[in-house]
Amino acid sequence: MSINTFTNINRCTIKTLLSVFFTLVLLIQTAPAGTTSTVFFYNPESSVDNFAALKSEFDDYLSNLGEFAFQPFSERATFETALTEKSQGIYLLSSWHYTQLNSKTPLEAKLVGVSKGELQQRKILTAKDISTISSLSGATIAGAGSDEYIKGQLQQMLGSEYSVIIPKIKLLSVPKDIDALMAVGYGVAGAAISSETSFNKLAMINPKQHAQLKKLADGEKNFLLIAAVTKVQKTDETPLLKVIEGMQDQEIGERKLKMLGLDGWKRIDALDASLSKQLR
Amino acid sequence: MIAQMKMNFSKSINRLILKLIFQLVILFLMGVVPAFADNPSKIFIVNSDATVTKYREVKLAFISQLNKQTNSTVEFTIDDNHTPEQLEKLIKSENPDLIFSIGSQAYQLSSQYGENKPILFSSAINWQRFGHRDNTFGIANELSMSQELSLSRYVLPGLNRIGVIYDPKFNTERIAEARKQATELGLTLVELNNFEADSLEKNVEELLSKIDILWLIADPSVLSDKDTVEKIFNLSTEHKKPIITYSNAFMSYGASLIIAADTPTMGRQAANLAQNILLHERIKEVVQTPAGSHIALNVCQLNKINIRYNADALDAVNQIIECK
Repeated sequence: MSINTFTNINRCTIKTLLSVFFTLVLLIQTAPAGTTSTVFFYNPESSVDNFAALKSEFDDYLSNLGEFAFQPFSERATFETALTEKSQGIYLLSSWHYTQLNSKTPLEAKLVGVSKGELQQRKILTAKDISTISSLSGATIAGAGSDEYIKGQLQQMLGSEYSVIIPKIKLLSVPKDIDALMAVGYGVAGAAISSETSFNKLAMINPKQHAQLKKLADGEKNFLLIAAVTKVQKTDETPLLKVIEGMQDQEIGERKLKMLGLDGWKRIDALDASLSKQLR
Repeated sequence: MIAQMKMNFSKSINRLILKLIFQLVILFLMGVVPAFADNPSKIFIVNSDATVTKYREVKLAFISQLNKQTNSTVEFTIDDNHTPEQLEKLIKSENPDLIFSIGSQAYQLSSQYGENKPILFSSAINWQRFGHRDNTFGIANELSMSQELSLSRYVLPGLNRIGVIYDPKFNTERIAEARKQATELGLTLVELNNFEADSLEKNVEELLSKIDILWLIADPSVLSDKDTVEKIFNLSTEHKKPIITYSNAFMSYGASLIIAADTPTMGRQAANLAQNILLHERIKEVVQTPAGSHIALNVCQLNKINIRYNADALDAVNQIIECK
């Protein structure tokens, strides 16, 4: 075999390989961008490390109903990157986070979470031995969620009148509201920030501790979890939205929703105008 | 004339002193003169074992919670290359303001070589057995009885008669506390504390017939060997009674509910406590109970024995075990 024949064979192989490569590239580009629709979840209001449980329970449920998946996030930045880069799928996030993100990455709320018939909840500040807000200076406040979230809630509750106190407060992030409330009972924290609902739950769980706590301040009402899509959405998420909305109609789906602290969902377009405008 | 000169001299000196004070105040405000508070406190972290996940979680949460402007850290992990003798030398040369020990071995060695430094411990199992110096502080390894019982009632409501097996040699005080807490929560504690190894099976069966749920606590006499543990779990399943316990190690035996301390919260608590110690603030609780809880729910086992759980508590559950 001459050198020329050898070179010709090589050229031919390279040509074939290149054409196969370009065909593959074209195929990939013309295929729908990701056939699996994903629910992305991040909640700064909770520090319960249950991501593995959420992933497995929701994946199990959703994958039985179509090409759907669930992706929980523990880091806010990673969640936000996924949101801005992908612009597809459904984003489950707290209303506090939704309001913050909406100014950077325009979102469109589609569903709002419901718990015991309520769409909104209020955060409250309770204490056992501290009776005035000014005495909070130097105290430890326990709360569930990220430090940034707890601090934001405190600022909103205490207002500008007590803004000088906030840098003097030590925060203790605990996994859940009930832990924060009980931490006050055991003297680990001076005060707790929790939802009003969790405070009422404490009355059933530990009536003595509940009776010892007094309310120092309360915040504005906020929506529970929001299901949203980006306004520059690349894909149609109607099928996945329908599946999420329908979870409350099946016992198994409702049980998964309970892991997020919800009983069901309500469509934003079915809300009273005074409420829905808060999410625009 | 001399009097006039003395007066002028005194005035000049006063002016000079005032000028100096004024300049110093300006410099201080401008941050040119380093404030003493800017000198960070040095915290020496001693870890019993780098391979233990729980220790690593505590350490990471501790460092992340610390105020970086006012604290610096030095780390030491006990292993084949880092001997107790090296620890002693390093404590002397680093001269830290506080020693944070993670795990029992680290706590013991820190107490031995820490001289008069304040010591803060966490993750030390049964820390009471090591003795206690005046300037020792800590985060206990176990949740308080009240928290364990309250959370158990939250997740598995309506199970009011709680059985507990214990040896008075190890757990008299703990059970006295549990009795008090159970009464406050409207629960009844049914105790089994007088048993022989040969009659354990019969005694456990008797106990199971009187209770709604069995609470397995850390007791070396009861949890003496694998066979005994298996026997207790098997009897419990036969009698359709759930077991609540403190460690994930019992999940494979069929524990229905595990309530333990959340380790990252322990690290954050330790960091807050460290800062209180370094600032010489009043410490209300020298040894704090862990504030965060970690809950594992074995739905598979509960379905097997036909016990219902509170679905509204699922958002507080970290781990759910389903049947495979």
